[in-house]
Amino acid sequence: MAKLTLDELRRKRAEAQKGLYLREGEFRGRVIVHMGTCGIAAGARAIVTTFLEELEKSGSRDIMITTSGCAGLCSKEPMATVEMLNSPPVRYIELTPEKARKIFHEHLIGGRVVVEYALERDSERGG
Amino acid sequence: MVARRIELMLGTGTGCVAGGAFRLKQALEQEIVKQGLQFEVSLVPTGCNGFCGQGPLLVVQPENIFYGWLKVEDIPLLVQEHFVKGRPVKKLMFTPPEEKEPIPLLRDIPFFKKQMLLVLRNKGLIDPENIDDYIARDGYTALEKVLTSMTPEDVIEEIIASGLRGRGGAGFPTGLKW
Repeated sequence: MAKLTLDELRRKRAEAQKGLYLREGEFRGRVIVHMGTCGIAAGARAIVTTFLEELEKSGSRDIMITTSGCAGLCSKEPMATVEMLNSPPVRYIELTPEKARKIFHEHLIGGRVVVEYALERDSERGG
Repeated sequence: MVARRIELMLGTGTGCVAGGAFRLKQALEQEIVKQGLQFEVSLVPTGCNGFCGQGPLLVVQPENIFYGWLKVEDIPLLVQEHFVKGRPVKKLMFTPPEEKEPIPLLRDIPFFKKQMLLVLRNKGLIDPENIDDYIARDGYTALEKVLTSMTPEDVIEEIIASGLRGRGGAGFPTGLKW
């Protein structure tokens, strides 16, 4: 086997570390896609895939994509809740892959709530 | 590499393997494909996690949820409920003998909570058969350091100061071997 130089080792390490972020990462924010039977029937799985694709393209390693059960508002599915550190959660309704892409870039990366797709701010706590 | 959202850290130390970890691995792989999660979930075999009494065991990252005493027949429910629908399965979690409610997170379980890992800091975090995992967790940095910034005498002093000893039984100080 060819010898590995120190520079190559360091490059390899930087590359390998990107692959471990789910095990040891610190997360700045997360998206929860609601995946009850209603959400799945309305297309929630495509929304998860869209968020994962955008995450990969962006190279970000501090955003968690996760799922949860039915949120009780089945007629507005697919829905997702975005939680950013130190900000109130925002629930988005009637999602499509296009809307998910916009939410990913504006809210998760840019920190600006996409008001036109939101149910209402702070709906998780305000009930 | 495509971004995944879940990594399943499956204990494959001797205890877990004796308890059927490889059968679980196969069942998990099949069920993940069956439920269409192969691009979202990856399975990582790890070395011994330490909590052998709960094996075969699985830690779900990034949430840090711990499942113990898993059986092949639990897998379809686990994949459907937790990995698809995001509802962790309480009945597969660890419940301390004197309690009624399970403790969902590994980091909250007293057995793990009281540990401060030094030499074993990578336990359960890497696939011991994947050299990239080792390199990502600073593998070979000690070698890099001694070759580029220390003299042989510095290295010997450091080894003596560390108190490193042989484990053959006599406990001979390693730094005195040179």
